[in-house]
Amino acid sequence: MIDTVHDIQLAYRQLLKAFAFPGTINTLLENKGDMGFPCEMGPAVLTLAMILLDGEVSACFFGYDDDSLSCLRHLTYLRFAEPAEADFLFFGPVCQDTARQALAVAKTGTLEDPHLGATALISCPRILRTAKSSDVFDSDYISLNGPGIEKDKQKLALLGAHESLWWINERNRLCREFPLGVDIILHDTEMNVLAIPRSCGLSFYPEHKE
Amino acid sequence: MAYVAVRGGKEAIEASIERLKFLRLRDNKSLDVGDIRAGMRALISQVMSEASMYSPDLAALAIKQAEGSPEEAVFILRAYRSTIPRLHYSIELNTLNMDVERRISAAFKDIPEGQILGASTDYTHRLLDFELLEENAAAINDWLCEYDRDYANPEPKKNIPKVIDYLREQGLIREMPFNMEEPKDVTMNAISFPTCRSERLQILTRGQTGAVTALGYASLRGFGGGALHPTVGELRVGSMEIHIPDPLGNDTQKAENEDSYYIGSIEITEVETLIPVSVGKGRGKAEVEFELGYGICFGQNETKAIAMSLLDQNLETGDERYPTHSEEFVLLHIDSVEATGFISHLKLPHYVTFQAKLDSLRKVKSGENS
Repeated sequence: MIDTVHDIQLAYRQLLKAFAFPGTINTLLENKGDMGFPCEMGPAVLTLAMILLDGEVSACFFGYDDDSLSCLRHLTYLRFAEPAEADFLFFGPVCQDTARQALAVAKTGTLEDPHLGATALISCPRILRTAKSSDVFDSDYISLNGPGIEKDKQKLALLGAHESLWWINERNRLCREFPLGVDIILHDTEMNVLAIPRSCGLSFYPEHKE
Repeated sequence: MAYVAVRGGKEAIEASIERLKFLRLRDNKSLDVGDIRAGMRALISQVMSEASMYSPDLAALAIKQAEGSPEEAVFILRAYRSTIPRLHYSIELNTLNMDVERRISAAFKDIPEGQILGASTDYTHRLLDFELLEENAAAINDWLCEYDRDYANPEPKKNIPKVIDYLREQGLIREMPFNMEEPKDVTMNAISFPTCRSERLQILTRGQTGAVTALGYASLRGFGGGALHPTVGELRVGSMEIHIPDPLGNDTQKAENEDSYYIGSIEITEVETLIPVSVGKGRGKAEVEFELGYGICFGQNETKAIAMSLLDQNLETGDERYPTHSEEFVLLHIDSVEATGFISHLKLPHYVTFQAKLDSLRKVKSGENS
């Protein structure tokens, strides 16, 4: 069972580490139990929501059921907002067009206050350093470069994400004028997270196996 | 790399912290937080007000930890404040609903519901009371019984009309429209000039008591253009109930304050000061009009609240000729943590910057000699 105070604090440190070292895969919690809440969002999303959301911020969700969202609101007092207003955008397994349209209007901050840019949290079946040819899922590679990224850690495999790479072009468009942009957190079912801050260059190689 | 010069000294620093603890405890006595809470009402009020955090228990603890230094206690409490989440926003208060403990007016002797002196040091002789050296539990108990007999169960005093409203009804001060703008929060966003009134009032109310009082005094002595004597229209001290809207309610329910919850009471001091200003009426004629200055703070902090009301009016006027009308001069210098923090940083190692200054001085000197 995940403790909502101490475990969330540990997970928070992992998330900070993910942003400090973009391109590294960090596991939010080794303990993958549930939190005991009637919230069917998966442990990774729930953990991230407990870390990031409170009554001071707003969020919008795509691909999650209403009961889970209502439960999340009870837990965090979060405010729901339209995509163009939201501080956090959560994308579950969703219709790509709706998701792309929502991400397209996300806040990128202002030159005076770039920190007002939104953060998008995108689910992905599995994040790995390298995919094996034996993997049953499709695998796509993304490549990161920029500050904080070591040369040998630029490449990452997103398994089963073939359908969910919809966000890459939109993200690159939003981040073209640094320091404006959106930050991305990819999370998978194994509680792994990968942070892609707006300072990163990002490109992808679809359907590539080593 | 940049701070190589201040590396080391870890053991000395640890020993210094131990020494600090030793000085607090060396008489083999320790102040009980309950005693501080019970006997240091004024200091607790001051610390809560400057720290922008209402919690008498935590303020008492901070005072114990800081060995009674208000600046240190405020620093500790502000630091603690920054670590706790903000869960709710209260419904706005109307001080007409205050449960009044003390309420006086310097403008009128006979005010509706009368002057309520409450508890104040204003009417004491300020002679050092040596009898307090002998105070013991039995004597306290006897005195409390006597007090209970003489002043049993005073009725709560609510809905006491405001002196200012009386003057408004008479048309002696201007009727002002309600400002329903969402207040900006100076603890969430740094201020930029010019500020709005909500920001000014927040910075004034969390200002260092001594600094706010000093600038208020300077304003009276002519550095605020205050040639005319202001009058305290009303000063009230009492407790206010705090309610929060249902955090899961929708916006309409929140706006109508349906399903609100009572979460506790806070003691506050509120002051409305009448400040005469000379208004030119043409042809060399001038008329005196009253402007209103507003002061409010946590706890019973009367001097600070009055000084705040003077500075509020000064900053509203914003006459460039006077220092206490300058937003930057007042607002950026009265915060306890900012002011004491900046002054204190001067004792931190500046080895590298100072060496650089010495180097350039040596160069100049050697140039002079050759």
